[in-house]
Amino acid sequence: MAAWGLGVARVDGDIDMASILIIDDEEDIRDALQMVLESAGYEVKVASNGNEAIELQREEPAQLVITDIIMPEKDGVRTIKEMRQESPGLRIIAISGGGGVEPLAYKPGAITTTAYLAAAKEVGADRAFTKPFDRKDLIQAVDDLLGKLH
Amino acid sequence: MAGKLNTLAARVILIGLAIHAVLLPLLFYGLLYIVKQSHEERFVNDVRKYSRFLADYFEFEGTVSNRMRAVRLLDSAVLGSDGVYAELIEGDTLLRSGLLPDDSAGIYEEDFAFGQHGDHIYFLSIPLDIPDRQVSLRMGFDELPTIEQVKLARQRLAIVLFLYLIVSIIALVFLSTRMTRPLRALQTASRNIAKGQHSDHLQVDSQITEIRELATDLESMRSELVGVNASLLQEIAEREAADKRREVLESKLRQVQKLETVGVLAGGIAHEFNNILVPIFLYTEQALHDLPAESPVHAQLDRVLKSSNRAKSLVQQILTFSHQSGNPEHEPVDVRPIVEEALELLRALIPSTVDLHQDLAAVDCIVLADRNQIHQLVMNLCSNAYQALDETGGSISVVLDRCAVDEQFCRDHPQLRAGGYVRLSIHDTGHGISRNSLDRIFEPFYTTRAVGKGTGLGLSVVHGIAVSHSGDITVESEPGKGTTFRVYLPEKSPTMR
Repeated sequence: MAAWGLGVARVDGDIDMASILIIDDEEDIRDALQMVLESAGYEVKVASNGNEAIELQREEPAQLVITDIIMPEKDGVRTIKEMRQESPGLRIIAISGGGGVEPLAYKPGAITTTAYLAAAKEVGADRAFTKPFDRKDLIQAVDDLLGKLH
Repeated sequence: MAGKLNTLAARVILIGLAIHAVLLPLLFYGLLYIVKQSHEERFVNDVRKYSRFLADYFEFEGTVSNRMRAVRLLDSAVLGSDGVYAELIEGDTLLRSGLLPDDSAGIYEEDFAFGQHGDHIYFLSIPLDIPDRQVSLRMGFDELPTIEQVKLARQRLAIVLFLYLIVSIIALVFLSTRMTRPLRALQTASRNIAKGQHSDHLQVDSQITEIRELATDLESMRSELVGVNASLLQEIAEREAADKRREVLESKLRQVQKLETVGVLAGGIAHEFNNILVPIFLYTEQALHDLPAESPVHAQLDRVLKSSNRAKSLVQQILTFSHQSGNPEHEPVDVRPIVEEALELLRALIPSTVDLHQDLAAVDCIVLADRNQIHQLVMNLCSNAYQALDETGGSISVVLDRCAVDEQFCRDHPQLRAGGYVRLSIHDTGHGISRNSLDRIFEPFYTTRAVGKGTGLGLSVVHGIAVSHSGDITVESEPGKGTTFRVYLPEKSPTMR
C-alpha cells in the first residue's frame, strides 16, 4: 500500500473514509478495478456476488458500490434494489457487457446489455458503464459521486 | 385397296351400284317387252283391219267378176300399205296384183302371230262372203318396218337407261361424300382431342339426327375433358408454386436460423471478450498514468491500447450484428437526412470514377430507429457497393422511397408484416455476387474479398441493424451486372407520433 501513498493521503483528508465496494464475479475485473481505485486513493472492498456484497455492506457500509449486472446467484439489478432499500444514500455505479450471458433471443426488442443497464438505472444506479470502459471516465464518475474534486 | 372399299362412302356407292345392276336389266327388258308387244299388236290389228276392209270391197257385188277392177283394187291395196302380197284365189284361178314380183307367188302359210315362220312376212287369208263362189283374199305384209321400230326403241331405251345410270352414279358419289363429310369432321375433331388439342369447340352441322347427336355427345365429352384437364393443370401449377414457395421459405428460414445461431455464438464470445478487455484497458491505462513521462515504454503501451481499441470496435460490430447492442428505446427519426449526410461523407471518400446517383425524393420517411445505426447501415452498404466496382469505375445509385408491403411479400419475407415501409435501395453496377455466395453474405466473417480488405462484418452488421429495427434486407444480384440491396424499415405513421 505504501506505493500508493499519494492516494492514501487524500483519503486521510476526509472526515469519513471514502470506501468503495466492488461486486463482480470475475476476479480479473475485481482486481483491476481495485488496483485502479486504490491508486486513486480510495479504500476498496470486493465481493464476488450480490449476497456476499449485501452482507459485507451491512457489517461495514461503503459509500459507493460498483456492481456488475449479469452475475450468478443474485444479479446486479436485484442487488442494487435491495441495497438501495437498506441505505438510501448509497451511491451506485452499474457496469455491464460481459460474463455468463444467456443466449439472447434473436429478435427485435431482445434484452440487450443496454437494456440491463437501463433497468439498473431504473432501480437506482447513479451511473452505468459498458465494458470495456476508460479508466479516466471511471475515476471521474467515482470522484463526482463521492463529491470530490479531481 | 380393301381399306378404301371399307369406307362408308365407298360402301354407299357400291350398294347403289349393286341395286342398279339388278334393277336396270329388269327395267330394260320389262320396258322392251311392253314396247315390242304394243308395236306388234298394233301391226297385227292394222293389217287385219285393212284386210277386212279390203275384203268388204271385194264382197261388194260384181267386184270379183270384173277382173280389171279386181286387179286395180289389189294394186292399190299393195300401194296403200306395207303389203308385199295381195291376191284373190278361187279354186285354181289366181288373180294377183300386177305390182308384185312374180317369184313372190304361191308359197305361204297363214300367220297367227307376229314374226311367225321367220320369213318377216305376215300372211293372212280371208274367205270372201260371195254367194255360190269359193273366193279367198290372201294378203302378205312386211314385218320388217315394225321390227326396225322395235330395234330403234330398244336402242333409245338403252341410251336413256345408260344416262340414268351415269346420273345415278354421280348422285351417289355426291350424296355419299356429302353424307360422310360431317362424320369425317367428327373424326378429325376426335383425333385432335386424342392428340391433346382439346381447346377447339366441336362444330358439326348435320341434318342427320344420329350424326348430330354423336357430335353433341362428343362435344360434351370434350368440354368435360377440357374442364378436368384445366383443373388438373391448375392443381399442378398451384402445387408447384406452393412447393417452390415452401422451398424458398425453408431456405430463408435456414439462413435466418443459421444467422441466429451464429449471432448467439458471436454475442456470447463478444461479451466474454469485453470482460477480458476490461483488465487489459485498466492495467494499461494505469501503467501509462504511473510511468514517468519520459519512459520509452509509453510508446509500447500506446500500441497495446491501439490494438485493444481495435478489438473493442470489432466486438462492438459483432454485438450489432447479433442485436445485443444499441439503444432498445428507438426514437422516431426521418431517414432522409441521415442518408443525405452519409452520402455526403461517401462522396469525399470514393474516387471520381464512381458515379454516385441519389434519388431521395420521398418525404416523411419516419421510422423508429437508432440514428447512428441507420447511418452505419448506409455507410456499410455503400462501401460494400463501392468495393464491388472494379478499378474502371461504375455507378452506385441510392434510392429512398416508401412502399406498401402486402401479404404476398410477407409470405416470402417472414420477418415482415403487411403495412407501410420505408425502403432504401442501393444498386451497384459491379461484378455481382454468385448464387452460392448470396446465401452466405450476411454471415459474419464471410467475405469474398482478399484477406485484409474488409473484416467480413459489414453486411452482417447491416443485417443485424435491419432486423433489430423490425425490418429486413433483400439482395438481388446478377454476376457481371451488379447487385441491389433493399432495406425495409417499418414506417411509423405520422398519426402515431
